[in-house]
Amino acid sequence: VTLVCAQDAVQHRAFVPSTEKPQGEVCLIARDGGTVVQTLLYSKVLKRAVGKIVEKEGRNWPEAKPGHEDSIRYTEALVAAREEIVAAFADRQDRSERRQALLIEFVLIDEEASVVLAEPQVAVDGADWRILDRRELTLLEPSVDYVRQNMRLIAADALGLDPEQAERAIP
Amino acid sequence: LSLERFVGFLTSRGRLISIGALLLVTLLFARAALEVGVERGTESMQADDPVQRETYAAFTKRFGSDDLLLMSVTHPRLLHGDGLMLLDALSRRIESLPGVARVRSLTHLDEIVPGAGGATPTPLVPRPLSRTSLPEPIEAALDRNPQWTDLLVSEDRRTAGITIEVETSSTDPDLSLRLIDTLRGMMREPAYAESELHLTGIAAQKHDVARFIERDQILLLPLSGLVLATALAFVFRRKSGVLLPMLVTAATLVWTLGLYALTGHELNIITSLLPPVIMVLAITTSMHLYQRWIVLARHIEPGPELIHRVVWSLLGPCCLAGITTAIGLASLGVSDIPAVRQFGLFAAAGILVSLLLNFTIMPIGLSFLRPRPKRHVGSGDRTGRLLSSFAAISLRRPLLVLGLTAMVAITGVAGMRQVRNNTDLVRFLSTDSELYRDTIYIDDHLTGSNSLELMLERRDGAPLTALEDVRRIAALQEGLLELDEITAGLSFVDLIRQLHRAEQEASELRLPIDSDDLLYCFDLIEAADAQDDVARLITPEFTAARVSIRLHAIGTSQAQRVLERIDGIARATLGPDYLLQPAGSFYQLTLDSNRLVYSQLRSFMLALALVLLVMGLVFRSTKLLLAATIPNLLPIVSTAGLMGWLGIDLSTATTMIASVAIGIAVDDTIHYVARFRAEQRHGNIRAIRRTTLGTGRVLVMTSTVLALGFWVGAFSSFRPTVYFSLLTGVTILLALASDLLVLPACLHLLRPRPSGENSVA
Repeated sequence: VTLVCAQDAVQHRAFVPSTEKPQGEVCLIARDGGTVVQTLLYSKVLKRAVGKIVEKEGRNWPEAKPGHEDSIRYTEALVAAREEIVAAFADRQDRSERRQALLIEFVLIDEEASVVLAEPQVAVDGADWRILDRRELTLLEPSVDYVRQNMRLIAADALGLDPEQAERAIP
Repeated sequence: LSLERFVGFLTSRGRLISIGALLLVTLLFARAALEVGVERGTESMQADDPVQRETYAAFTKRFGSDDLLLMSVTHPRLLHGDGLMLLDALSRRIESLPGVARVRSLTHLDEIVPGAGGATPTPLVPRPLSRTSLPEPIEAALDRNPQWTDLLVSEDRRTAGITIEVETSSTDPDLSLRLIDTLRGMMREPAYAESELHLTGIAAQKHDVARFIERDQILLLPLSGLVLATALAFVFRRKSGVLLPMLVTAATLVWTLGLYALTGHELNIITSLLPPVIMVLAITTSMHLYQRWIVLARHIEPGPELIHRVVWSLLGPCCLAGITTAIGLASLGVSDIPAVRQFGLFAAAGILVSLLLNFTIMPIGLSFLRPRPKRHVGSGDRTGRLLSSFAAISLRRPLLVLGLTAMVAITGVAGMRQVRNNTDLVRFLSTDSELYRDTIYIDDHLTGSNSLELMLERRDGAPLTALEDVRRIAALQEGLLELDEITAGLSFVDLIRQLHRAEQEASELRLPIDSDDLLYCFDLIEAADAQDDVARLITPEFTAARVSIRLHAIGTSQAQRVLERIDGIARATLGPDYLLQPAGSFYQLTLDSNRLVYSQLRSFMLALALVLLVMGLVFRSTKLLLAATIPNLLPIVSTAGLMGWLGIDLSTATTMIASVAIGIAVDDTIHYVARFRAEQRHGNIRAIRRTTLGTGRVLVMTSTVLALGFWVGAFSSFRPTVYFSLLTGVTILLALASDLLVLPACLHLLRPRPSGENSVA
């Protein structure tokens, strides 16, 4: 088993929408002196999970708000990535496997921001999910403000951090 | 000698001690009797069947309670803004009431539509609601989702339904009763005057049954007392002739009800009949004792000797009569229905208590009295003339009497074949009752008021997620909906159709034809937010599903035929790989009702065998036993035939008639035969004439009083109780006629030999 990012230090993690019926896992990670909010979607209903993200993006980044354009590019890329994964999933060898995986990383290192969409290989170890490998699908470079703000919103929503905690965790 | 000593003790030096002891015990029982509760439900009407209970428990564990209330809302502009706002406000208000677990109505319902992430639930009625909203969007939504028509909205879309899931509370058993009161109070509020509201459901049924039992106790008990006192006054025309039997009757009632309460029982639909029945049954022995006291007082001086002779002459026949009546009643103890069993056993106990109290209170009471000279009543009065003619007919035309008996029996048997075994809890109630009116309204205007639950699983325990599984269940559901008695059905297949349509962004409801698409629907179900809704249709592992069916307000007889047709449809559509188990309260009732006949037939055969055995042991004469059997079976057969000809159903209450009546009917025979044997020294013909004129008079008195007493039950709130009371009264009168015509004719023809010693009298 090879960890993708051996230097990753997970600071917070939580299954979404619940530990009982997880469709994804959100981690707040310290990496290379920066911060990463990593969302691993690992779900039989990936379309639905992605749909929920798209819905939230629409609510959080309305037309008048700065960052709206970045959000649109992000959601379009997200849907495209999902479609690619679903298309590949239809041709899978192991028909018993019904879960599809999509990795989303919001990365903020040295005031440089990026969003990575990837198809990961996931290993399930008891209640834990581990990423064995990843195939990068899309790399976006939105504005730093959009990425920082979105990371804080995800941390608050998925990890239960209050605004102050989120601000401290994602400076 | 010991009897003489006992009577002597009761009527002289032990009188006050006995009175004190009786009073003390009666007061103790009275305290318990006053606290006898009323059952808050219909559990005692359900058979003790472990398999049935397990199936129901498995159903409720998997899918929750089937205890739903259904409120209908008829509004002239139901789908317009004002109609929907009213429905929404009402649904919200009901949702906030204590005792309500969940509410579902058109305004509390989602449809599944295509969304950003595929199938997405969205309110069927768009928000916010406005008075000016037009009905077209809602009509379109209902057209898109036909599964809700005939379930939550009528086809004409003027009546909507609100299903209310009732919370069960172990600490507050009256919670659901109060909820019904609150809901009915709401329904009468002026705010809802523009609409027409009705309420039905199991909880409402339980509520009304409890209230009606309380009402019957308040009405029937005093009415029974009044009827019996009036009848006694008419028969004896003396204060003591009313007071003494009424005292014994009241004490018997107190002791029996006290016993009932002390053993932890509550009154239910059937045992609510115990008080009037006990009163009626207890009074006959008192009447025999009092009448014999009057007759013997003409020849014996008042005092212990007179009372001893009264007791001595009647102890045997009265005990035998009491035991046979108790046997008849106790035979109901083999019933599967707890309510019937309790009724039989406690009524039998009441008879034995009444014997004890009659032979203690009556001697004590009589010892205080001095008999008034009474004009001799011979054959000159109306009763005497009637009895003379009965004696003449049975002696002169015995074959004609038996021929007529045979004809009546044949007519009875022909009628019996038409008797329908049917229990209909709603039609148990009067047509004026609120629940009856509401249930029939909902049945006519919205959906079937009965629900039948079908629990479905694969025999190999595999999940029901294959295309073949879903297709077969859909075919089952479609087949069921073709039955006239079934108004609507709902299962997870309806949900699959909606999910698939939304996923495919199609316009028509169809099942997936691709296995991956179907599995994706199951994945969506698994990940759905509304797991509470899903859990009511299919288990989390998808191994067991529920098909919920609404049935019209039919009785169990029709329901049995529906069940048979469901079984046929299930065999044809599902095949051998699936297990379909009906469940739910209505199914239980149907099963119980249908095996009631066999249970009661068993009970009656047991009663008959025991009664004949006791009579055979006492009479020690085959001819006497044969002569006594014919007139006792005739009234039972006649009443059963009458039920068939009049279209009265065999139900929980009416199946008790035979077992109760055989025990009572045989009493007259015992008294008649006892006197006949005592008179046989005068020759059979004279013995028959003297018995008919002598004992016949008391039998006319007691049977009339018994019949009148039973007929008080005609004022009950429950129809089967009304039929039970009326028909038992009729059976008693038929038994009297039989004992005064058929029994003498049989005795005349069979000519039983006189016994060396009179074992009964």
